[in-house]
Amino acid sequence: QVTMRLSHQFPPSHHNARVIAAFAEDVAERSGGQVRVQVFPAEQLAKAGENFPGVARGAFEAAAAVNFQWGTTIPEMNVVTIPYMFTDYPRIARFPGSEAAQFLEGLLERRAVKNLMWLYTTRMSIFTSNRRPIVSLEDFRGLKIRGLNSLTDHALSAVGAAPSAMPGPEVAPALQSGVLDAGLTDVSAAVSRRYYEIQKFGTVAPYFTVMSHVYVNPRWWNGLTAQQRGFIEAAARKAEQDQLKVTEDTAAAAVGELRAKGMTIHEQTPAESATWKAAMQQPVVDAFFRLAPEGGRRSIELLNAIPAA
Amino acid sequence: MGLLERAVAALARLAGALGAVATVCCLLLVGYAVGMRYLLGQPEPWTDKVAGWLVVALVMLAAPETQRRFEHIGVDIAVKRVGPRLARAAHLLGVLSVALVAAVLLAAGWEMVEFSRMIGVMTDLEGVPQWWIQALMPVGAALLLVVALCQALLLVIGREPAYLPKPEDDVLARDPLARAE
Amino acid sequence: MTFLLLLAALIALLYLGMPMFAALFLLPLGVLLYVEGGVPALGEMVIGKLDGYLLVAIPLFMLMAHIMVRGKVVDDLYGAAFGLLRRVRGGVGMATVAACTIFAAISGSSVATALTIGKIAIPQMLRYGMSRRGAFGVVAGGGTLGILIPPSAPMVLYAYVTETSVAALFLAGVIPGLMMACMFALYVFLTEGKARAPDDEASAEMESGVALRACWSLSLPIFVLGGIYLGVFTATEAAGTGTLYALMIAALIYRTLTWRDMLDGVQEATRTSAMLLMIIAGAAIYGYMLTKLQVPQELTQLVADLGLSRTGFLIAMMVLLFVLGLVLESFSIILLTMPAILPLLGTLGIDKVWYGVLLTLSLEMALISPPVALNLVVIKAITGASLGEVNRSIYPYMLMLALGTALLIAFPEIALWLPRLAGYGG
Ligand code: NA
Ligand code: NA
Repeated sequence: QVTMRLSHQFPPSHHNARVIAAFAEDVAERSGGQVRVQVFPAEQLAKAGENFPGVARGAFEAAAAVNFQWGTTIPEMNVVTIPYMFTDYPRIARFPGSEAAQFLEGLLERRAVKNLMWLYTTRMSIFTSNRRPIVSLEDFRGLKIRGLNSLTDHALSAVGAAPSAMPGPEVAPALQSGVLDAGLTDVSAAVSRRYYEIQKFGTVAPYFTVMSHVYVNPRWWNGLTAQQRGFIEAAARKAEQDQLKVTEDTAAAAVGELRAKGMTIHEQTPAESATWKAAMQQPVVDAFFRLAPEGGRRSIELLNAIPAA
Repeated sequence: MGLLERAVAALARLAGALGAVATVCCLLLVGYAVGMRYLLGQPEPWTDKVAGWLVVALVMLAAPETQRRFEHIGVDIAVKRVGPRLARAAHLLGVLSVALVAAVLLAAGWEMVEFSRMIGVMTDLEGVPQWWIQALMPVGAALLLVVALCQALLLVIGREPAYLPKPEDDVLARDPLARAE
Repeated sequence: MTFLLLLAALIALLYLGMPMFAALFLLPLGVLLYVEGGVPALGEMVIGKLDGYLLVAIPLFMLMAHIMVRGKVVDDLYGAAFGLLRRVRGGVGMATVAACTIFAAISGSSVATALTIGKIAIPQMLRYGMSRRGAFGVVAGGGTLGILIPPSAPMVLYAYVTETSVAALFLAGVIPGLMMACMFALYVFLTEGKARAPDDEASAEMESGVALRACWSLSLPIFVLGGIYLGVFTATEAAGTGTLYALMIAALIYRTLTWRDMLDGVQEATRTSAMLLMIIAGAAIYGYMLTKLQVPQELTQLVADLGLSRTGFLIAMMVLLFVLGLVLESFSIILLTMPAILPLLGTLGIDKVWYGVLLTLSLEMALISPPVALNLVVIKAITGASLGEVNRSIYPYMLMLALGTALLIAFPEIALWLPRLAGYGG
């Protein structure tokens, strides 16, 4: 009997956490209890930043991360989070197993961890505000907005906004007191953080995609029997597929709930998306290439090669 | 022996002073970030990160000097009530436990720095490798180890390390603000 | 039960003479070596624990208080309060409560509050006819406000460990702090009413404009807390700008701060921070051990088995905290208990901010409960009185703190109203 301890930062109610919990049960079932996945959600076992060294050096066997957490250590991992680069659902559904995914998995392997599965997290962001909705690019001018990370913040600066990094719990009071004029978050996070209580307007846009993934310690993985690896792999492939639908459903439900709670929601039209893309994508791509001169171009090529149908 | 103690003291004080410089830098950095945000409307997110690193620096650099002054708090009422021989044994156990922790941190810190260099782990700030900050840990731990071992040595040969707490010392022996409770 | 065993083992190590941070490292290290055979990413765990933006607030608030104390700005506080209250029944003692309240809003430390105010106030109170017991009690009790009224070092630590907003916690401490201050003042009013300045004594304090100067002391907490309340600053930014503001008061208005004071203050603040943060670093591995041993789950199960209600659980915790407060200091109590019971707060639907204030009240109690009662040691040090005499002076204040705790358990709004008004929490 083997145990795989899996550490992640999502709260148990998060849609990624639910799929990971189901994955753990699936593995137990498939293996008849021979392989046990013990999940530690919400940073119970290790902080988000300690997951990678913890797994790479064998403190525990597995962890989940959000793609952009690899920051400048593996800058190529940011590729899906470039604004309007990879937000069509049919292409996202083909990402697991694609050459682009394999390319990133190779980079992870060079950093001493083996990728196990890709968990699609979001492609729908919401720009929230109180005074007036954020629809045209001019609406960004002079706006103090919550940033996400230094790479994608280039998009916001490019349209005249002033992004500032802020930990999650501080955002709501900052929005309420006017320290921030606008919020930027995942649609389902807007529900769980009760943005509808403090923000009147929301623009839902396919702004960027966030992919989470689960990786394991390669030495531990190679020490498993082929049969044990088979149980885990099979459950992982199923989790990847299940996650696609769960995330899409969660996002759709979230938009409905924000409306029901009284927020005025504007869903971005394709024409508006094209306008935003034209202004916001290139500055991020430029910064992305600075961080990853070779791998950056390669990862974009491979991503673009994933067909829409 | 006196020479060794003075040399260790000089080293610890120097590190402590550098730690104090880190505190001042922290203050200036936070002041600068607030100023940029409110006066020029230009947030500087990198300052948050760097301020956190300065905290790591001030802890690691000032911990040895704090140890040299026996300022790391514990429960001292038991030690105060026993005779001088037992008190000396308790002090020896105390400094040896610190030396052991320092040795563990030194080894763990060294291993961490090696790993980060091998993998090429970077911080969120473009161009700053993680190990630059992580290196503060083995450096501080090494210094802490030296200080604690020197104190242990003095206690073993029957000499009194500087700042060794005395039974008659009271809370006023230290600065009033030194207890953060 | 694992939990109680671990606590007992840790306390034993401390009583053998180990510094807190060393005991906090070595005990879990030993346990994990035995259970797991090692801790592979120890370095990252420790450094990850120290590298947090919120922790920046600790050295900065520490420095702010150093500047105000070394610059002798706070020395005017008792005189000013006395000047205003000297004709009032019990005013001699109530001035101490007032001075403690304002000093508490400048420093994050109760010991510093009792010491700074006590040094000036005790001789005055005795001179104007207060009983020794009354004078000692009001300083020891009033001093405990230091950690309840923001800024508060233990609250920063609690916020960090539980990932609660420190701004919300600070705001939550204000009204309970003022409530306790009013309770203390009322007690002095009732028991020490006879102590007052003679009518014919000229009020030197008022003439010299001390009260006006003391307004500068008062302006610092207004600046810091107002900034946090209005959302202008995060707690860390408030600590930084507050320190710069304190520097301005001490250097430009009082002109009492020397370069030497500044140099010593920075070094002392740095070493104290190093001491506290090493304990926090040690707690990283302690918390990791608790998770590995599944202590939180065990406790959750225990509470479920006992069928404890929310109030029942809170009362049980307050009793446990009181017992721990007899033998440990604040930082250790927070670090030792919170990783184990944090999941329980979620399960029982207990607001983390509310619990943080309750915890702080129990830490205040720890500061005046013998045998390890720092505020009492402070009084003994100032006055040379016997510890027995000082101990006796404190019982009414312990009762009042217990009453305050009960009120807060019954009416969480006392703590939660202000942070909610500022937009924190649901
Ligand atoms: Na305070
Ligand atoms: Na106590």
